[in-house]
Amino acid sequence: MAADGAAAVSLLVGLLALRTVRPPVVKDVSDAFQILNRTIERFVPDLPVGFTWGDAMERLRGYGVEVDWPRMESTLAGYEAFRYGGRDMPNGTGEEAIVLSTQIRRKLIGHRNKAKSPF
Amino acid sequence: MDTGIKQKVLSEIGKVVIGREREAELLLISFLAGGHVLLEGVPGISKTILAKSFSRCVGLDFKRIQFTPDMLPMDMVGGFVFNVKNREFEFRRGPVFTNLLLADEINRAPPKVQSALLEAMQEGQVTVEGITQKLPFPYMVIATQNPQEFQGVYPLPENQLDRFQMKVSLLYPDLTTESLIIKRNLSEMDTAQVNEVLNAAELEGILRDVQKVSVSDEMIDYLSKIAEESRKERRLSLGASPRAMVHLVHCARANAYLSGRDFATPEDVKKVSTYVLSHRLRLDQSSVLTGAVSDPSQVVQDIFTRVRPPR
Repeated sequence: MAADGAAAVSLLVGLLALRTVRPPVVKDVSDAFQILNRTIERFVPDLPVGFTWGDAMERLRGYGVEVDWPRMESTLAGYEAFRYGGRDMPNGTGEEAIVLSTQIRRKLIGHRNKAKSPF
Repeated sequence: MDTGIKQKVLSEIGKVVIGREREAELLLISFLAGGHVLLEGVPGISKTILAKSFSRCVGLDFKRIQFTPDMLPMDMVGGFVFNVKNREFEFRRGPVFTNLLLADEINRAPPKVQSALLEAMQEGQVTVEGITQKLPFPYMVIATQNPQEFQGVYPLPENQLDRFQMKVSLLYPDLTTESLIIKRNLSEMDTAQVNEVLNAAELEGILRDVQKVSVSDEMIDYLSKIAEESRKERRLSLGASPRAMVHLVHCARANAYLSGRDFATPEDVKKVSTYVLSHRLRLDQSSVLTGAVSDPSQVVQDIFTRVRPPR
């Protein structure tokens, strides 16, 4: 009986852990976009290795991921100016990129090994 | 970085050419990147009017040469003629001396004429009887060819194709666009309706600004990996040349400029890649015969899906 109870509790804890996606802790905008990059690579399997930020944004928009897209685009523009244009890193922590990353993981948790994106 | 220029040019061209916004944008990108364009398509799909309208709205001197099998290089570059008044030979410039040259049906001219155009395209100059004459700046050749013609034509060799920064294939318009074209042409359509949107000083400034668009080292490495991947590709017997990659980076910069940025991104490279690379790649014949591939642009797209850009 006790063993059954323990198994049920651990199953419940496991399920709760799957459903709860904590936003990661980030240092800066660059860090936020690297996390978003890894999230996309891992959780959006139908995007090829050679995807660009533009491809990813278009695909995620198409899937109906709910984020403030104008703000996301503006943050991405700032990051791209830093990444490709040698500008100073934008201030802030790239909150929108983290929100997007969390949204992707929340929607895709449990589907990570499937070939087709469940969006 | 001026983003308004693209809209101005597209809207002026749109007054007479319907449904060719993408092609007009590619002409503008190649022009800003200092390149030449090969327009490919069957007759009557607005290749000539597109080129004429483009030259008009960017305020360039325009000349057209209709290439024929009996043409001589002299018909294009000009030559020395005897002036009876001063009893001296003087150079009479051919139609190649212009800012924007429309080389209509380029594959109908014999190789000698085609190679005379090479020097003009590559060096911005022509040499006649040992004397070199500079061509006006900016200089752009827009050549057209009909892919359906097989008789009485001289297909452009690889080295000549490589001189064209882009090859743009014009397809038939869709049903709605076709109806619009017919409707609009019920009254007389004329490129005179196209207004000049740039003057010489503005154009000079823009060309200077495009040169200032930066390309990071990581982006250069990305381009090198693309080139390497194309040379390893089994479905190709000829991959991208270093010149192709140089053209690609110039077009990416022009695209970045038109997008209002002073730096190029992988997006800029990807957007122009099939137009810059496809015509320079040679398909492996055994892959064609086995049906593994039929179109080089498909191979270009596949390569871009495999090579990881800096992110």
